[in-house]
Amino acid sequence: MATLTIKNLKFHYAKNKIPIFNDVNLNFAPKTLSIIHGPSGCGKSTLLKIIARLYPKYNEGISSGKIFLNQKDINLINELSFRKQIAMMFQNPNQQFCMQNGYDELIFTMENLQLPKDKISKRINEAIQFGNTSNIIYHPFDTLSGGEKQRVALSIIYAINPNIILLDEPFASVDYETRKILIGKLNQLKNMGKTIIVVDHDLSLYEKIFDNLIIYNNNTFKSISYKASIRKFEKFQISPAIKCSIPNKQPITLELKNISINNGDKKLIQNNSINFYQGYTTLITGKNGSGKTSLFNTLIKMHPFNGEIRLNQKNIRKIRTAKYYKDIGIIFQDSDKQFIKLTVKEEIQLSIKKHNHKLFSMIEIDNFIKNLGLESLLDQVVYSLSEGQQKKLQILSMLIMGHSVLLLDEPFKGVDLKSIKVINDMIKLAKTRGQTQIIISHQRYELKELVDFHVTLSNRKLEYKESF
Amino acid sequence: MDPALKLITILIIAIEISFTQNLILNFIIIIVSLLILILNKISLKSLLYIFLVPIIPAIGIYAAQLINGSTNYGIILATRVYAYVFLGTTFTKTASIKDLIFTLEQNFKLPAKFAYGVLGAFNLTETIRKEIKQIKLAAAMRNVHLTFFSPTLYFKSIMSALNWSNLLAEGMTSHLFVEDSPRTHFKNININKLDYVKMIIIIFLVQIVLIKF
Amino acid sequence: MQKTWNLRNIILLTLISIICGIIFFATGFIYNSLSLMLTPFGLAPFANDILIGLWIMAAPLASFIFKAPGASILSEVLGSVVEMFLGGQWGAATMIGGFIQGIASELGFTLTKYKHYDWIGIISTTLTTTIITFIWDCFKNGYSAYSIHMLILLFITRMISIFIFGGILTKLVTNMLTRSNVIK
Repeated sequence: MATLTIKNLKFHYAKNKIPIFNDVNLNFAPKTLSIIHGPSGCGKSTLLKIIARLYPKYNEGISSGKIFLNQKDINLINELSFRKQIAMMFQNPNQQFCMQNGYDELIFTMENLQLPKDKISKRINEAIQFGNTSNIIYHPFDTLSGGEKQRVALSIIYAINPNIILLDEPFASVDYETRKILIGKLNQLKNMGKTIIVVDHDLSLYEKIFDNLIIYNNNTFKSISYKASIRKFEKFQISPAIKCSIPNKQPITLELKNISINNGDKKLIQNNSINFYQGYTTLITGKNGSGKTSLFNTLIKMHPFNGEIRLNQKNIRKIRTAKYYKDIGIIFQDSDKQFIKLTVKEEIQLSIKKHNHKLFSMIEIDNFIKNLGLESLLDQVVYSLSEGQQKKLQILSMLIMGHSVLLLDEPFKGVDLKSIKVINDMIKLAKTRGQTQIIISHQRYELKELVDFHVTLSNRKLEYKESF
Repeated sequence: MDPALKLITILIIAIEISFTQNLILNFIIIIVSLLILILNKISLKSLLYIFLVPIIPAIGIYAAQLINGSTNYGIILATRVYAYVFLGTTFTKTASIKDLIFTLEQNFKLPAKFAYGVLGAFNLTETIRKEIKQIKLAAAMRNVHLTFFSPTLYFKSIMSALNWSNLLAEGMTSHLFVEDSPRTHFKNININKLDYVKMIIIIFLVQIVLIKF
Repeated sequence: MQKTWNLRNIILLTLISIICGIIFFATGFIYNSLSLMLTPFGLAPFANDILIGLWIMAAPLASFIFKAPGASILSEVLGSVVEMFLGGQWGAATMIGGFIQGIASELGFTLTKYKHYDWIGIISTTLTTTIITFIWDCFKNGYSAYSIHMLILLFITRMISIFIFGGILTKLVTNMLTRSNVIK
């Protein structure tokens, strides 16, 4: 059993004096599950990694304040005995394994724990049983789905048997059913006396098992009352649907015919046909792990598929890649992957120089730069921008390119409200000038003015709906 | 045979054939390696691969000696190319990087951070391959075509490697890997004395062939 | 950087070698077609020497990134072990070659006392790499049998290749990394 106490914690990056968060005072008791909830970019993952003593070891940040584990300053605890008490599950399932399969990783972890040889087998078997992973534990990681990897990760945490368990957006690439199973397991662990802290932007399914909801507000994290938490949960569940229409004989740009997409053994889309229409914006929604990102990867020829896809009546398998990427573009979820140049100015100028279709005039572009607040950042290195600033630059640069079809994967991640409006205006202007847009987003309200049609992906099927 | 001893044996042989000119030894190496590979049930496809891949360099080096050097030397060099490839394949088909690293850690005092750092990076190869593909794609969508000559391709790849090395180190740390801290071993890997004998015999035989032929 | 060869940096160093390996192997067809074109004239070794700079690039790149003793050798040795298992076509020669290239490149930085991560360092490492790998190829690839004219031409080709990839390209990449504050 362990209690974790945070006192006056503050964190900022070396280059930037403005703190990410400030005055954080929190307490986590044994046998409780706490959720840290907040918009992306608010520093909730950073907070978790500071608790785990991974930061500042693995980043350039500076933190002040103290964290106590059972009244002992964590920085004074010997590293290995600290690690034995606190285990972490990461957002990206691929980052947490150095071995090739779950069994080897379990052994690796137990050896690090300095468990004597004769005790390892027993401990591993118990962990496999707890995580219900016996059928996947010997499979190489690259053949497992995100959900399966997280189940293995949870088995390993069980084998470590720590007092405190931290989870950083653990279900980001996990389907709904697996989420349900894993949250059930967290409840079991809680009842065994563990202190559990989860960072999640999605509150669903925690309602019955949480003890403590922590919200990001005014640059700090604060615990809110039980009543207020329940209101948060309700607001999260029922948000009224927004009406939209179902397409009707509009000109078709992108035609998917009898498409099937798999991810490893898992079938994501099965023998499905759907069209996307020219000059319209279509929103695709679906639960985590349902295959939205794989669908996008298929459309940019980065994921294998069966069936036929036609772009302006031409089979995309027959279009040369260089030519194809002049017609179709994607805005990646991770902004920094989009950048080619070093500074903000160079990045924008590259797009102006290399565009396919001229969608915007120079005056319009200058206005966008101003309204997005990028004007004062023109000479900055793109990698030193905040997540939100990167996103704005990324969207602007890709819109200037003027692809006939643009795919947008979570385009509002980490962007402030004022900028969302500017981005909406830009995307709309591109659309009125003929661009076809397909968006994946969890944020529906921000998209209200933008979306013409709505497609859901569920039960391996894509379908148009009348509301979103 | 212990993977580390096997590797040392193969390296010694490879160094010897680099500095000597012995056609018969090259052929013996190729034939013995081939036998070992067949005994280890190498697939026809891999077999074909190791026959075909060295063909262009082997012919190239042979023709170069034929025209600009000495013919006899040409044959030795061409067979040497095959000997290298067969030796290497014999090793990689009969030992895994995991086993090699485990024995290096337990029997040759390789620090654990090197052992598991390299192993972790090795297991990230596919991820990195995908990232490089994605970098090229992102550039193509901006009408920029990155080749092996483009600094940007290396720069972006290293940025991604930097990110992944941080992520993996965080992951390993949270699985209790602490640098320079002692670890237990689930499987003790001991080198069989017979393995040393085998190694010495093989190297001895190579010397005999070198002297006699 | 507190301790240079900590876990994070060992992973990074190995990844840098893997990246250079992946990019190099993607150029396999260039080597093969170059080699085929030159074979009828008995000039196939030039294919080797034209591309060698790309092949050894991981070493100077690692030295420029880590600016620490051992970076060149480690990157080549770790890289060659990994490459052998990834199916590098040169098999056993990969490892020996890797070790020799690592020493060759490292020596250039040792001679400048690990203080010159600039053009002086580049010239120094280009020279040591060219000379040592050339001597190695005299034995391994039978260069010793060629005429003096061909040897001089091969040597110059190799030096230019190493200077372009291991020097200019490496410098351009490190400049970008420095400008984006990733390295000092």
